[in-house]
Amino acid sequence: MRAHIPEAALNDYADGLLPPDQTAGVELHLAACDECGAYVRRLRALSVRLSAAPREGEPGRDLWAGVAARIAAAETAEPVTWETAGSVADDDRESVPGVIPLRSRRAPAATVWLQRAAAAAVLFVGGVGVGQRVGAAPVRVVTTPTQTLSPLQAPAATPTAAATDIQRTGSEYVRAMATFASLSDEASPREVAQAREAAMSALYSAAKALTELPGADSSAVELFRTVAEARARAAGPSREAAALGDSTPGVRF
Amino acid sequence: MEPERPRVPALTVLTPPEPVARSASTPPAPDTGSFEEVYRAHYRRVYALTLRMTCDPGRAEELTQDVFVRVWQTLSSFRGESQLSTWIHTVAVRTTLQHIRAETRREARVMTTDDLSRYAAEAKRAMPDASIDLERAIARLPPGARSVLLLVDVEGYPYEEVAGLLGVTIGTVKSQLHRARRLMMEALER
Repeated sequence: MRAHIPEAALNDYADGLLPPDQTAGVELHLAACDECGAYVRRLRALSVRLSAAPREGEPGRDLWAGVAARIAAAETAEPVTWETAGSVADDDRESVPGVIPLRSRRAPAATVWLQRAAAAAVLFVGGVGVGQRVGAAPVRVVTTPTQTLSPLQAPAATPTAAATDIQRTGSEYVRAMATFASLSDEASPREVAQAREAAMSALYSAAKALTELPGADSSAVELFRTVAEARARAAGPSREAAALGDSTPGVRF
Repeated sequence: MEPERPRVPALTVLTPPEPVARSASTPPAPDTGSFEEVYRAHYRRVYALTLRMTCDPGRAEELTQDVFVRVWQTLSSFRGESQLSTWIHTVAVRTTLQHIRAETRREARVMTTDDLSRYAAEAKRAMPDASIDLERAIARLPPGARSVLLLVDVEGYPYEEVAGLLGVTIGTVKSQLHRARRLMMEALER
C-alpha cells in the first residue's frame, strides 16, 4: 500500500514553505500520485479564492456617531488634572491616557481605585455644559430624554468591582448631562427635569456607595456631601422650572 | 504610605484637562474632527474583519466602534513603525480576539441555520463582491480554525504574527490552518 504525503507537508508544499530537498521528494511523489496531486490543486484553488475575498465591508449604518459619543464620554470621565499631577510626571509610567498618575506606586490597590472612582465622581458635579465640549465638533448623543441611568448593580462582588461600577456611573452621568443639554431645545422641560432627577439619584447612590467601600476615607465623605448638596439644590430649581414650563438648559448642580 | 487625598474641585476645574499637564511626555490628544478622518479611512477594513470573525453583524458593529475608541485611546503610543492602517488592523484583530475569547468562556455558541442565513445576507450586503458560498463556508468553521484561516489566508498575516496574536505556537497555527482549509474544501465541493 502506497504511503501518501502527509497533509501538513502537502500544505507546506502548496505554500512554498518546504526546503528544496523535501520539495523534490514531494514532486517525485506527485508525479505518480493522482490523489495527492489533486489535493495540492484543490489547496491552490482555495488559496486563490481566499486571497481574492473582499477585505472591506460597509456597515448597515454610520457608526461614527457612536464612536464619537464614547470618546466624549471617556474624555469627560477622565480624572481631573489635580494640581499635583505635574509633579508626578517622573513617577508616571502609565502610557494609557486617562489614568491618574499615582502619587505613590506603593499605594494599596483598593485605595488607588477609590481615588480614581472619586475623581471620576467629582466630574459630574459640574452638570450641564461639560458634555458639550468634544474636540473641535460638538457631539450629539442619540438618546431620549427619558432614558435613565441604570442603577448600580447591587452588590458588586469586590471593592474593586464596586469602585468600577461607581466610576462607570460617573461617566454615564456625564454622558447623560450631555444628552440633556443637547435635547433641551427639543424635549419637554418636564421630561428633561424628570430625567435629570433620576440621573442625580443614581449619582447620589453611587457617591453614597463610595463612602461604604472598605478603605473609604474622608475624601469619599466630602464627595458624598457635595453630591448630596447638589441634589438638594437640583430638586428645588428643576421642580420650579417644570411648574413654569420653562426649559432648564442652564441648571447648574 | 498615605495616598494623596483628592480635593473636591469647584466648577472652574471642570474644563477638560490638557494632555500635556498629565505627563510631560504625552503628545497632544488628536481632536475628534481629524480623528473622524482616520475613522472614515479605515472603518471598512475593520468592519469586514470583525464581521467575518464573529459572523454576527450586531457584534461586528459594536466591535468596530470598540476598535476605534481603542485606537483613539492609544494613538499616542503609535510611533510610526508601520503604516497607520497596519497598526489599526492589528488593534482590530486583538480587540476581536479578546472578545471571541471572552464569549467562548461564557458560552459555547452554536451557529443555527437562521444565524447563518442572517450572516450570509449581511455579508452580501456589506461586501457585494463577496462569494456567498465562500463566506458561508468560512462562517461554518469552528471559531479557532476560522480565526486562523481569516488571518493567514484572507488577511495575509505571517504565521509568526498569528501565533503571537493567538498566544499559541506556530505548529498550532499551521495545524489549525490545515484543518480549516480541509473543512473549507469539503464544504465548497459538496
